[in-house]
Parts: sequence; C-alpha cells; structure tokens
Amino acid sequence: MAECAPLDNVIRPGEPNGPSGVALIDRRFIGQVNLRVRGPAVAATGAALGYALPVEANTAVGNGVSRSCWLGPDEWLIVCEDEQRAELMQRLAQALSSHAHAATDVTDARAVLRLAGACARPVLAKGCPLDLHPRRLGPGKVAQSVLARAQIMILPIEEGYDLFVARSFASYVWAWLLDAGAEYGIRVEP
Amino acid sequence: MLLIPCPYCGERAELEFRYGGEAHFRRPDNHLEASDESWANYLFMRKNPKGWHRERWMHIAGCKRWFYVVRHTVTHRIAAAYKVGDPWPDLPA
Amino acid sequence: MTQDFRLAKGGRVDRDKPLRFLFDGVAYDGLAGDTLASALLANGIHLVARSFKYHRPRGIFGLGLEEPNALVETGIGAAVEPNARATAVELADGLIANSQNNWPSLRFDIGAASDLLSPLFSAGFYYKTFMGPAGAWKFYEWLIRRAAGVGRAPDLPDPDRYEHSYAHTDVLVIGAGPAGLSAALSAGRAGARVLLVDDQVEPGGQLLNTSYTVNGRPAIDWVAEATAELDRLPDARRFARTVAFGAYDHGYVACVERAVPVTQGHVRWRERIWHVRATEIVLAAGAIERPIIFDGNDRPGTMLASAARGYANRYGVASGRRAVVFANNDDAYRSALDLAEAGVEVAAIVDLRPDPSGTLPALAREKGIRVLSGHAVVGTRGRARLKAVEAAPIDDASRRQVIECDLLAVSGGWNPALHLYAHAGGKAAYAKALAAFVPGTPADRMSIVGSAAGEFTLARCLADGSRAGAEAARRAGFTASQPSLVLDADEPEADARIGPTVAPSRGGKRFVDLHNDVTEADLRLAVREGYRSVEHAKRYTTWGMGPDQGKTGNILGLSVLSDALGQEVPQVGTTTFRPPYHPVSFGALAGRDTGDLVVPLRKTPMDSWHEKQGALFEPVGQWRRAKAYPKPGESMHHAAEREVKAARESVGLFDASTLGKIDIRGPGAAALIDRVYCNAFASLKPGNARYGLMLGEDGMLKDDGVTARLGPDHFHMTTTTGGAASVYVWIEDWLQTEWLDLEVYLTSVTEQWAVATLSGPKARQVLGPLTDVDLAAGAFPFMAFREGRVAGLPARIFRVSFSGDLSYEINVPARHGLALWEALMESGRPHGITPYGTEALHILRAEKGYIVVGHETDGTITPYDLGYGAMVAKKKDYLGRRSLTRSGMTGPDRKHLVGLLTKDPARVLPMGAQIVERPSEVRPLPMIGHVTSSYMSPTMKRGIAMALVKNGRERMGQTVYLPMLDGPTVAAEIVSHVFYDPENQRRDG
Repeated sequence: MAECAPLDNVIRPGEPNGPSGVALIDRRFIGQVNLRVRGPAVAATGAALGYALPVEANTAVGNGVSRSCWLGPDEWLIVCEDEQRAELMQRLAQALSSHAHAATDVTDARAVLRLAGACARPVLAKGCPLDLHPRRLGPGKVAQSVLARAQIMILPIEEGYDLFVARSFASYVWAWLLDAGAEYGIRVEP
Repeated sequence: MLLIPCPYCGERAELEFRYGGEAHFRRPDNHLEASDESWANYLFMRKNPKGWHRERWMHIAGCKRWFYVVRHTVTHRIAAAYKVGDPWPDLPA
Repeated sequence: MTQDFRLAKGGRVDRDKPLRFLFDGVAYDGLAGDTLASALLANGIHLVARSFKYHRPRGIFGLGLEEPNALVETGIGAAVEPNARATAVELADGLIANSQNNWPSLRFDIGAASDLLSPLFSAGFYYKTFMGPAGAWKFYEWLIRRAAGVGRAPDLPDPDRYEHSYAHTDVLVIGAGPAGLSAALSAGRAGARVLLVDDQVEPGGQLLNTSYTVNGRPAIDWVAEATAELDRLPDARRFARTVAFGAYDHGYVACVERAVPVTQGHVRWRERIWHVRATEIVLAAGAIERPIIFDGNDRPGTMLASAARGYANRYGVASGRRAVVFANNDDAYRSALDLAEAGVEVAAIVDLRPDPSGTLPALAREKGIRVLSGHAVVGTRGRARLKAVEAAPIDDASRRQVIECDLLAVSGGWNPALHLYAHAGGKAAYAKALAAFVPGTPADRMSIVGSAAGEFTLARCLADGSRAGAEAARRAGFTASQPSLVLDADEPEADARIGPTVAPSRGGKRFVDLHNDVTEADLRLAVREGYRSVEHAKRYTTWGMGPDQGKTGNILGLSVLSDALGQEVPQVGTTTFRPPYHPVSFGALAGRDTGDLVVPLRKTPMDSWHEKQGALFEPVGQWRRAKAYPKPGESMHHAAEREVKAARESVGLFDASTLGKIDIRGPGAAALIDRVYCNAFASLKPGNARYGLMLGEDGMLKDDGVTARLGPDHFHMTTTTGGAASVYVWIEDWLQTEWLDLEVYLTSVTEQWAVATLSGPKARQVLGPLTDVDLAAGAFPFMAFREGRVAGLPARIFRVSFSGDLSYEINVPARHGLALWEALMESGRPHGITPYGTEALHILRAEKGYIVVGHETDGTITPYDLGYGAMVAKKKDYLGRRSLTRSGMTGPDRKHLVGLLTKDPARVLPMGAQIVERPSEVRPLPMIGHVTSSYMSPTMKRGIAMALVKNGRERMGQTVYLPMLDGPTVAAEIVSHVFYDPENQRRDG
C-alpha cells in the first residue's frame, strides 16, 4: 500500500492540475443600477444610454460606458464602472423625469466575482443547473440562476463569467468557488 | 427535479422557482360583503386533483414573474405555461 | 500466489502490468484490467462472502452490478467502503479487500449455525417470534442486526472528496454496448450533443464478454473504431465508470462516476454525481441473465453462464477446470462453446428443454459436448466449493447421475434491464416467449433499444441502436443528413424458445433472492399466509429488497408466485423499481455540502468588527448575527445585561443590517402600501415613517415593520429579517396577478444598505457631532425620516425605536457600513457607548412589550389578539380585512397577548411553557396558553414574560399556573405586556 501523508488529499489552490486552470478575481465595486420601466420609458431609457435596452430575454447589450442586462420584462441591471454610476443615475433621472420608473443604485448590494479561464465552465457547472454551453450562454447573453445555495446573475465574458451575488452571500460563494475550482488548480488573481 | 418552462426565461430547473399552489381560484367579487362560506372557500378550499392541474409558480431566482403552468400531478408532465392575462390553454385529454 | 486459473492467452487484461492486492490478509496477484472478482477467480478463489441471514458460504455469482453475493469491504481505516461488489471493484495495485458478515473468519463462521436452524428463520419469522414483552424489541433488534447483515460503515470522518456536476445534452445514451454505442454515434453524426454513460471501464458492453464479430472482424475492433469516431466529435462526451442510477422528471438522470483508482496517495475525488438533463434519452442498459431455481443453487462455484463466459473472454480467467452448464435457452450454448474454446472442460449441458435442436446445440454437440436434454440439475455437492452436480430427467428424479465439476454455469434466459425505464414512468409488459418483461407503455423522452428492449441478436442491437440515436437527435432538433451505420453481424441463429426457470425439487434449499437469503419456500409460505399481492409478498419475505434490488431474483420470484397463486405472471404483477438502480454512497450524495459549505453564512457589512470584538454569534435564518459581546470572563447573560443597561442609561449600538428593505416606487405606490398594511398609511407624509402590520388573506399577522415615505410616490419598506423574501414575493404576487391597476416597482435593497441603530438617552449626543441633520426633538421627531450625511457618508436616518428609548436607525450604502460603525463608536466613547447584540435587543423590546413575528405570532394571531385593534383601519380595504370578521375571529376563545409576572421575581419562565388555570385538576390539564417570550429584565430587575392566553385581557390580575417538566408548578400573575415606560415618555422625548 502506498504511503499517504496527512495532507495528501488536500488539494491546494494554485496547484497545477487542469489544462490551463481557472482564476478567481474579486472585481470589488462594479456600478450597478436596477432599472424598472415599461412602455415608452423603455425607449426613453435607450436614448439616455445610447443604445436600446435589450427586450429579448436573457440578453445583454452595451457600449463603452454601460451594459444593460435583461432581468425580466420590465427590469434591467445596468452595469458600469463604479465612478460612472452617479452620472448614469443622473442621466436616467433626466431622461425618465416624465415617466414612471424606478432607477435604484444597487452597487453595494452585490459583489462581482470573475471566474476566468478554460475551466471556468466546469467549475460553474458544479453548482449551477443552467445549460452553460456557449451556444446557450455565451457573450451577449446573461442569465439569472442559482449557484449552490445562492442566487446569481451570470454575465459571460470571453473565456469565463462575471458572477453577481448578493453582498451577504459573497464570502460563501467565494469559498465555494475556491473549493470547486481546486480540482482545476484554481488561483486567486488581483 | 422538474424542468419548468418559464414563459419569460425559457426552461429552467425547478430549483429556481417557488411554488404557489392552485391557479385561478377567484377572490370573491365585493369580497367585503362575501359570505363566510364563499370567503372560506376562497381561503382554504383547493382542488388537489389527480391529473391535470393549473398551478402558479414564481421564477424567484430569475425574472421574478408569477405565471401559470398546466402540470399533471401523477406523471409531472407539463403541457403548457402561460403568462398572467394570457388565454388559458386547454387541459390535455 | 500464482494465478493458476489465468488462461494462457486472451482477455483484455494487460499481462505486462501485474498488480498485487490483499484479500482477507492474503496477498494475491492480478493484472491491470481485472476486477477484484476476476483476479480472485484467477487465483481459484470462489468463496468470498457469507450470506445475509443464514451465513451460508457464497461465491462470485455475476460479472457486474447484478452481483448478489460477492459484497466485500475495500480500503482501510477511514477510507473503508463496505458492501462493494467484488465484480465492480477495479483492481489497483495495493488494493485491500476483506470479506464481511463472518466471525471469526470467512471459512469458519460461527453465524453459520443459523443455517442449521433455518427452518425457524422462514418468512415472517421476526414478526411471529419477537413480539413481546413490550420494549424487548430493542434488544432483539440489536441481536438481529449483529447476526444478520452486511458490511459496517467506518465511524471515522471520510477523508475523500466527492463532487457534483450538472451536465446538459441533447441525447443521453445509457449503456455503451452495441446498441448504445451505435445510438450515440448516429446521434453524434447528426450534430446533436451526445453524452454516453456506461458503468464499465471501457465501452463495448456484452461485446467485451463475448466472441461476436462485426463486418467479419472481432466486434471489439468495431467498438474501438466507433469510440474513436465518437471521441472526435466536438459535442460528444463519454463517461466511463459511471452508473446512471435514477431517471427522474423531464429528462433528468442522476449518474455517479467513480474515480480511476490510483496507487499513489489519494484520488482527487472519489465519486462524482452527474445531474444530467437530457432532451432525449436512449436507454441501452442491456439485459441481466436470469438464474434458475434448483436445489442447492447457491453453492460457491455456481455462477451465471454469462459471467463464466465473460471471465474467460474479457479477463482471460477460467472460473473452473470442469464445468456443467445448466440451461433453458440457446444462448447458454454460446457460453458453453466459449468456455470450451477457452480450454475449460464442459462436462455437460443440462437443458430443461426436451428438444434443443437449433444451430447452437448442434454446434455444441459437434464439439463433443454432452447435451442432457429434458434434464435438470437437482442437487449440488461440496461445501465451500462445488464438487459435483446431480442431474436427472425432469420427469424422473430417481435416474440421478452425479457429474463431477467445479463450475456450474447457469442460464435461465435474459431479463431486460428496465429499471430506469420504470423510474421514468414506463410500465413494462410481459413477453411470454422471453419469460421476461419488455418495455410496454412509452416513457417520457426515452427510447429503449437493444437487449434492454428484448432484442437479443447483435444485428438488431446495432440496427435499432443506430436508428434510435438518429431519431432521438431528430426529436431534439438535429436533422443534419448523415451516413448511416452499415453493420453486418454474423452470428449463429439462436432458437428463441425459453424453457422453464424452475427445476424439480427434492426438498433442498432453493434460493430466489441470493442477497437476502429468500427461498422459494419463503415465497410459497407468504402466499399460504395470505400475502397474495406481489408487493405484500415482497415486504413479508424481503425478496428483492436487498441492496441488489433483486436484479437476479425478481423475475424468478414472480414465476414462483405465479405458480403458487395459479395466475399468469402478468396477473401477478411486478414490484416497482425505484431509484437508485445501484447503491450510491452517502459521501457521493453529500458531495461538497460539508463543513462551511453546507449552508451559506450571510454576513453583514460590520461582521468583521463583531468578530474582532469576540462577539458570540447566533444564526438567524442564514444570517449570523452578534448575539452579545462578552468581555473576558463574562457570560452571555451577563454581557446582555450590561448591554441592556447601557442602552437604557446611556447609549448602545446595534447592527440592524439584516432587516429586509424594499424600495417601492411608482404612481401606485401609496395605494399599494395602503392595501398591504392593515393600518392607515394614506395620511403618511413624505419625511415620516409608520409602523405597519401586514396580514395574510386569512387575517393573521404575517409580517411587521416600519415604512417611510421618501417622496409622494416613493417608499422605503422594512420587513423582519426572516420575512424579507416572502414579503417581496407576496407583494409582487398581488401586483402581478390582481392589482394590474397599480403601476408600482419594487426593488429589494436589503443588501444595499448597512444599518446601525443608536439607542439610548445619549443617542442624540453621539450622533449630533457627526451629522448635518438637525436632531432637535421638534425638528426630527419620533417616527420621522431624514436624509443627510453622517460621518461624511450619505445616510438615511429613521427615528424609530425597538427598545423604547430614543433611537436612530442610520442607513448608509453597505460599503460604508463598517466606517459608519467605527465613527459612531468613536463619537460615543465619551458616553460609554456599548455595542449590543440580539439577546439585549430581545430583552429591550420585551421590556417595552414589542412583539417579534414568530415569537408572539404563529400564523394564528390577529392584530386584535395582540391588542393592536386600535391600529386597524376602519374605513379602507386591505389584505385580510374580510377575514377579521369571520366567525371565530372574536370572542372569549381568542388568545390575547398579555404579560406574566411570576410570584417569585427571580424566576424566569421557559419560553414555550404551557399555561393552565388550575394546577390540581385531573390530567390532562386544559391548556389556556403559552409563554412566547421570557427574560430576566435588568431594567425591571425581575423575570418578565409575554404570553398568549385565552381571553387574556379579561384576566388581568388573575393568577395562572405553569407546570414545569423539572420541578414544582410556577404561579404567575397576568399583567399588561408593556413593562417599561408605558407612557412612551422616553421613546418620544
């Protein structure tokens, strides 16, 4: 029987194992505005943003300043740099002043964790029941679902995902992802 | 685990939803004048059929919309899902 | 030890890779590619286990997951895995395996004495014997559990990791035999995403165990080519070592994959559960060979003919030197021919059929194998190993002949493996010609092919599989044209006739269910005793209820019942297959849901401060909240007492960030708020806040909280910590389905705001220097809301109170929560500011008589019960209003919220204690209420309690009694539940 040291079965984060592994990145503060509008206010919002709000389910559209993620038939999450959010709020307030709407700054309500690398998909697939095939959830798409026991919004990036999780769940999801990614040699990047 | 066709987001795992029981039971008109009996019916009496059932679901981890599903309570087959205000699809034979 | 029974050539084992393993402490050699079973057989070991009930010696019986006998324990220490099938344990260098359920040893097992007493242990024995005296069952059970049984689980923590993953596919193919492989390939060629799962190490299914050819070449070559092509497809995946153990709703199939065994250190993960969601499922799970019921049919050395054939063809192992094949069908002749080809002497084929005459019997005879047609095996000889069988003509047991042999290969035909089909809702139909069940009604999203569908020729398996794969792909939306598979399987034609599956009896032991030691006699006894339903007979005898789920014994038992009941098999019915198809370890089911990852631990923005202070935490839902901040040497109760005093006499600071918060906006917002609370809100002016009571439609209190009006169409609602999600869902429900007239938008902002509550007479002095908001009582009165800056941070301040003293709830964006907290602590230092936790919070609010939803309410309590009747609006409509006038909602039977003061002021009543009117009545005493909250009050310097008591408000001043579990009954006086500052002077000042 082969000898076995006490920590042989502990997988160390950063240990190379997968083909190119996966990285976990805390994106700190990402500006987030929750927008709820209906009817003509949708078009008015588009004028303020410089692009039309996506009305197709599970899609995200943006420009250099912001990206709008479809959350529901009258709800979007508009994502931008943290520094841009005050200006975005102001612009929305102006554009929607004559429409019923709710533009709510929820920047502090969610953490954004980036899971990047070739193995991001199998790591996420350990706890998310969504079909993550690039045909179903690739760039240009967005999805809300669950990851293990937390609700998440998933915004695919070139090779990986930005995961939006409620602030109070962030440390749980962080620990969960590190543990899930251990198999693929997950590393934490700044 | 059911695969529930959210009319807004598409087919999703049951994990993402919250069940709301029987659909389309009607709140009595002029409810403040409703008889004790009709009010109790509204509050407490549900069909609980063995077979096709119209029921309410909310996509809590998704679009947060309430909607309706026609589901068979024995086979769990889902025949239709529809939005609030949509015409009711027929129950399968 | 040498592998005496390893054939000189053949098999898919790697003869250049010897592996050494231990079984019951003895070292043996095997080869890479072996299972534990094949390696043991290569060393001539048949006896590997003692049976469940009678401790009879048992040998290896099967080839794979169907194995009923060879349950062993693998590994050592914490990594022990009990009840592993030796036939499914992949051999690895250094493998340690041990037999189970014997003492002191496998060969000399004391428990085997129970075999001598076996006439006692018939079906229903426990029910009849261990009836009394009362309480004795616990002892009997201990005894029985020791005597009967399987392996023992290790009691050390499991050192291994277990994983879970979701997988999605257009076509899931279960089984990589000829049907499954061709199905996967044709679905893959059509462009569909394909997932092929198989429990074996390599694909091929029965082609690994047999000697068929495809297109004129060994079938296994075709397997290699087909697999290689499948692996080249970008969207095809194969999971080997993976058992599909349950088919559930809507194409959801649960599978468990076991890791490749390693010889150095530990595996990275030991097992992985795959949650597969498939648009279409092709079930190609194959078939399981059926044994025959005959006297002494459990003697080690007796095994399924297909297993003996498989050990020879796949592992290069002779399961014996001299074999007898006992058959009722033509396929058994293939086994006999393969055994003969491998060099095993086939002494005879004993065929129950009177006239086996097809191509295969002819071939056997050609090879010089003696065929005893119309014969049966009527007995076996040997103890721990078969030495001979007794065979006789079916109709004349006296003409017995003894045939020496060390292997008895039994074949009673094949049973399609329909377990997953049954899980998916399929109802099987009985095919009399096959003496087996085949797919009947359609199952959701599932097609069944190959021998699982009762098609036993290779040509049909290949053709049907290919067609089913293409059709499944088409149904999943993939119609790309594709070259079809052209396969030609040459195989001698088999006679499809199946003989009986029960041999004549001479009174010996005849097992139906080898695993649970259920005999034919047990089943017949069950019928005689009135258990005529198949489900009842099953439970009475435990037939088919072992971990093998009757894979080899189910159909045999049905034929016995059919005979005993005088009914055809379809009338007898079948038992229900339920998941799992094969046992799944608890470790695999738990996955990584262990330790800190079991449930999320939600933390507030100030959590790190509490932790640094050494706070005691308590779980509140998924949140962890600081319960108290004990100083060194201080108990939780003393800390809470000190914290309460500070909040009453100077100032305390509380982390209220967990409160549910909903931002409500839109032209219909005011109307919405007015409809969801039972008290008036329409008159609430911007800048003010109000405490609201939310009722369910049944009129019972659902949630409560303070809602502030930020603007004409803009509200900030707070909910209880536990009610945040359900209140959001509840209001959205009304907005989306009933109140389509209201345009209102809800946004959950629970996580956006950190909340610090300053409480106590010095609160104003602490906050004043930090803020630009005018805190003067006149400028910022009780129940007002102001926006401004606190410590330079943008803040919303609510002047509300849950303690009964002057109090400010300060909300800042969550990122600033810690900074706010530290600034308040710094500013409060001259005033002796004291952080307080949830224990102090509860004491403070109980002193003031404030309710907590879930303590003072339980879903049966109305505002009137709580004494909040004056708050309930008289004119407006609101949710739950109609219910408040239902009969039974008023009157002397309602329970009212009251206070209780024990006669002994030092006494603190236990929460939940029941209240009675008179302590001396005959039991059971009528209960009139219970204690909902109870604390030692530092402010009142005595025990105080809140309680719900029947007609309590009419009982003010009365004495009631609380019987205790652990002491004399306690007397208490009913008083008002507001103990502290009933005039609200301190709160509003």
